Amino acid sequence: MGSFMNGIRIQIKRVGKSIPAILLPAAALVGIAALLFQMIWSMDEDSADKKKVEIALVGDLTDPYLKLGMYVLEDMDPVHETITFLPMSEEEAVRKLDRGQITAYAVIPEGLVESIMRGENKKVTYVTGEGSAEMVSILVRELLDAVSTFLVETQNSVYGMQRILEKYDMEEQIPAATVEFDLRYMDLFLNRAQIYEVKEIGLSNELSLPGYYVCSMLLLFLLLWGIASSPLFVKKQLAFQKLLRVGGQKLWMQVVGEYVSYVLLMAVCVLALAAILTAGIRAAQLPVPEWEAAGPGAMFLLTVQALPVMAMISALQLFLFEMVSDIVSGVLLQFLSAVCMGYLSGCFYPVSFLPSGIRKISSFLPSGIGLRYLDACMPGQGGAAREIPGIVISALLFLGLTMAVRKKKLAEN
Amino acid sequence: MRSLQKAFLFFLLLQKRLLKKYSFLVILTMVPVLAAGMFLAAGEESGVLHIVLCRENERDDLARQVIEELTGRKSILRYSVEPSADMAYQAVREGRADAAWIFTDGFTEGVDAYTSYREDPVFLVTVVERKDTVFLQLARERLYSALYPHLSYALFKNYVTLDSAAGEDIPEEELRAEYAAVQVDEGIFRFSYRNIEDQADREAETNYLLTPLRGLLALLVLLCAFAASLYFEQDKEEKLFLQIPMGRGIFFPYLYHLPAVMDGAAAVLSAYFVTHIFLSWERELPLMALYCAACIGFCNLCRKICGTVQRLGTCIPLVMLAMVVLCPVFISLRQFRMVQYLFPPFYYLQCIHNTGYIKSFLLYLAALYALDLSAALLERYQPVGKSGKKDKN
Repeated sequence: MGSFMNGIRIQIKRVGKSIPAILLPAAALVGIAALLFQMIWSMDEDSADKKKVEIALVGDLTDPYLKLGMYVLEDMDPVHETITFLPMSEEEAVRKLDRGQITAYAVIPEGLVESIMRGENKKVTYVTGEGSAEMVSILVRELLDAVSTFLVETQNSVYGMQRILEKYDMEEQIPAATVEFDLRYMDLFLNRAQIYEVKEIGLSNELSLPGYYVCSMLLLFLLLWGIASSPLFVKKQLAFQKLLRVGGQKLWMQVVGEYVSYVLLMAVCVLALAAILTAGIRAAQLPVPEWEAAGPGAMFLLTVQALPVMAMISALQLFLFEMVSDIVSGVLLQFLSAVCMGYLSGCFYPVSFLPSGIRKISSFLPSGIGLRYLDACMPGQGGAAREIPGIVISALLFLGLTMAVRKKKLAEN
Repeated sequence: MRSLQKAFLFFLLLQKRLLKKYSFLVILTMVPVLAAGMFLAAGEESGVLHIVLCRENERDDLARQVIEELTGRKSILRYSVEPSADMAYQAVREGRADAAWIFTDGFTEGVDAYTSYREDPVFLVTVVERKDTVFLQLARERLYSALYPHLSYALFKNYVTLDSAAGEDIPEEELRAEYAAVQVDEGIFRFSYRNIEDQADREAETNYLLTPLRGLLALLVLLCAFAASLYFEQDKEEKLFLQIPMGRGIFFPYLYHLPAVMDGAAAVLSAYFVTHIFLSWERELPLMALYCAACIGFCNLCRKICGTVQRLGTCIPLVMLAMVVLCPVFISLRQFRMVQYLFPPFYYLQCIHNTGYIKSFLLYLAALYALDLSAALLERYQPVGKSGKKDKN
């Protein structure tokens, strides 16, 4: 037992010496990030429009039908809350798109309305500037797809009516009938909410999206922390470990010693960083509904509650360190595992967005268990204790695997 | 010429040093394999919302048709069908679904009544939600666009047969034929990037599970550069470069970073290939070359600023996390533009479909290398340290 405690003490001493070197730059970066966030947030606070998606409209917008079309689009519920349309010239739109001041622009071709009247649709080009089309573009696509359906079906109907009236020798009725038709379609569109009855059953105590992302970003940070610790824990050679073995320290003692020191290192650094963030950004200022009623220390409290997750992820990362023998591989392996686990467990997209197969895999992954635990720790949630057995089993499993790999490596040496 | 030969030889030696580690090779191979796995997984049914569909009257053909159209359409909404309204309610109540759309008994008659302007309109669909959100509002517009062709046809039919003098005797087939006669079935929107010739309708551009792939892989190349920086710093601390005359040159760190970054870039390009996001050699190779140069410059500068392995190691996860959030990998933030301008992946991801951005990328590279080389010169001519020796690495 004495040798075990001695081993732990040596490891803690070794790791403890590095804490200032690790913590200082991290604290400086986090402090700068908190300041920047505070500055930019306060600059944007008064302008609700800045948080909306801005789409420029390029082209001739004077046509009354086009104005009507724009009115229809802006009337859509998800649009008027999230999107602002700004008329401007193409040059200005391109410039603003390149500067990231708008999300996209739509080029309305000359004679669009006449072409629609003739049934030969000219195309409105929706130009996005992002290198990879991201979520906003995909949502806008869905909306525009719906708008397209409305316009195309209305056209089909108007032409059908006109042909029938022509066929039955009632051409003189066409202008009046077309006006009547237009009015009915306007009515049909504007009163579309009457078609469905919305019932809110109000049982929702699920985590808000900002709340969810606070937890997932904390988890992702813990997963990426392995990169920071790679220089300390990736071993080129096992000379020291062999020496300890010869000196009578058992394999499990070595691994547990390293594990304890690693958990302590992670806990000290992450808690210190959370304290800096908490001091820099008031939790109530963040748009997280769960923290509205919480005190200023809500963010720090969540990090304290995350200690079991830190213990589990430390075990996983220790295992990954054991799998490699150079720092390049160590850093890459930590990153790949962090990104894959983060992706599969819902750190980037909420887990409900993922296919069912992935959701099943995610529920068994340490990151999936960790995220469920963190979600449950948010105010108003509950059931965090249910995840503890999963956390303990995962940690033990990875410690066992680390010992197995170490044993093999020592034997090969 | 001789120095070039030496540099090339050194590059090969560094490459050999990396590639002889099987763990490095395995990790590089994992990159396209994992990307392919992601590509396959993205093909499975998924959606930002799960909507349960149900019809109160099993015999209502129009409701069945709308349900089939919704479930058969490619969308960011995921649909499933429940046999009864109670089960649909249950699914929402238990959180298995975000909303239920229940097509009421008498849906077909309701569509007719709604568009005839002769009867009071009735609800056609009951929408059950736990709490209304913007996503659910978007979903309702989707529902309306699925109902709209039927409403539009019913409006047309009712007007022609009831309100125009054409009369009620026109057969249904004739009405259908005339409605479809000038069938305009193309959408009126065309989606494009700033580079108009780039296809914007491929799977990788329209599937939200695949859109972050390029950004994540780009971050991997940057991480290879960071890993090389750590390796460099470790070797420097072990005084390894004192043995090599070339180790004192100000361009030496760039050469040192090159093998790891090139290997990472090769793995990433092959991942683009297997996931079908590869555009063309003419576009991908020059951009990747620029990006590799930017990554090397950026990481080398970070290495100099940090000064030790541990400090650099600590900064990496924070910088990576900042890049995941701030660069257009998952979302495009407009608020933090000044910070975004600091990161190489931002320029790379912008340039992919907007080659006009290359000018900014080149300017960034010039500024980055000017800064890095100035730092190198400062380091070289720094005053003698405490140890009494000048650090020549």
